[in-house]
Order: sequence, then C-alpha cells, then structure tokens
Amino acid sequence: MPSRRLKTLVVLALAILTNGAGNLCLSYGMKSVGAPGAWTPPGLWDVIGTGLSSAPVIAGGVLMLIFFALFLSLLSWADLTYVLPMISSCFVVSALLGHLVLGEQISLVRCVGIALVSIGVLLVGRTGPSSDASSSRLSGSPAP
Amino acid sequence: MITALLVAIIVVCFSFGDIALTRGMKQAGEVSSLRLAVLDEVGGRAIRSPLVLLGGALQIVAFVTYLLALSRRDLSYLFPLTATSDIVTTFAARYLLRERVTPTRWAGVVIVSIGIALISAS
Repeated sequence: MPSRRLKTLVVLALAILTNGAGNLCLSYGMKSVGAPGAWTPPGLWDVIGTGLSSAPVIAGGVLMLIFFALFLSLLSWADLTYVLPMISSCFVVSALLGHLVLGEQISLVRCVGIALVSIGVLLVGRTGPSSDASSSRLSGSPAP
Repeated sequence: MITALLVAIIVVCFSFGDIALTRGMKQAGEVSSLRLAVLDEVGGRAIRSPLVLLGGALQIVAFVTYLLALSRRDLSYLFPLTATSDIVTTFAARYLLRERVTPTRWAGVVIVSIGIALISAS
C-alpha cells in the first residue's frame, strides 16, 4: 500500500517538525522564565505561573498539543512499534535545532547518539507502518 | 530506592499509556483524510474512548512522576533508564496488541534506544 506509506511518512514528518518547533519555543521561553528558586510547591507554582504568561511558552504548548493530535492520528492506522521509534527522530531534530538556533553545544557522545538514532530510524522505516501492510509487502503478494 | 520506584512508575505508565492510546485509536477508526468531517468524527470518538482517556491519564502520571524524579536526580542519571521504556513498550505491543515485530524492527528499536540514552546522558 504505497499511498498509506506515503501518508504515514508525511504525518510523521509534520509531527517531528511540530515537536522540534515546540521544544524550541518551550526551551527558549523557559530559559527566560528561569529555574525554580526551590523545588517546593510554591517555588514550582511561581515558575508555572510565569511560564503560562510567556508567549513562547504558550506557543510551545500549542505546538505540543498539535504534535499529540498528529501522534494519535498515526496510531489510528500504524503500529505502535513502528511509530514510537520513528518519532524518536524528534531527538535528532531537537538537538540540531538547539545547536543551530539556540547555539547549544553538541558533545561527541551526543553526536554518536544522534547517529545511532538515525540508523535505527532508517532500519524501522524499512519495515512497513502497519503489520498487515508489511506482511503483504514482505511476502511479495501483489495488491489486488 | 525511591528513585528506582519512581523510574519503574515512569516506565510502566509511559508503556501502558501508549498501549492504551494505540488500542483506543484503532477502535476510534483510521484518520483517512484531513477533511474536517473525518477529523471531527474520529476525534469525537477518540475523546469519548475510555482507552484513549486512560492512555492520556497514564501519560500525564508518567510525566508528573518524571518531573518529581528530576527534582531528586540529575537528568543524565534518569534518562538512560526511561529510554528503556521503548523496549518495554515493544514487548508489550507484541503480546498485547499482537503487532508483528520483525527482526529488522527489533534491531531498529534497540539501536534507537541506545542512541536516546547516549543523547540524554551527555
């Protein structure tokens, strides 16, 4: 089913980009809010209150909600064991965005991690998005 | 000891939350197109599905527990442990959702999990 495969990849790409942009907004916004003075309920409440009045944090939250809706849509037709590792590309995109936009350093260990996630994602991507589709593809039976 | 308990709660809630969400969404039906009528119909069924609600609640519990654990331990100490939740989820999906996990997919899941652990540990 090539059309379903294409649909899966398009929605995956949208979800990963939304997640990356959301993380970027949240990270940028929360840095200006600052760390909690104390890990106590009033200290945390302060941070939450300030965070919720910051435009980048609100934008980040909205993007994360859109990401969750896209994730649920994927689960409506694709395998969880396919979607979960594929969604891990978020880690790569977030690390790259953090480096390019926020100027965060990427250590050697983190580079190796990014490479491993990329290899794993390519491997999982070779299996079809859903069990029924992948079994018919592997057995080579032509679609009716 | 308490940290180990918190990590166990995080892994179990994330994994079974995902399992519940997947089963709920399969029941709600495929998002077959981006037409508003389809989104409204599937979305409406999803929001009223007990499994989707349970899955969402478990994810929230996992996230709050994660924040609690973070206040006790450094992120780099916790994340290699929570990265194993993908492997637990794959096992659970194989038996509870009867998904076909081919050797290629298993290899991919394990390599991705090691990668996540490295990214988060550094």
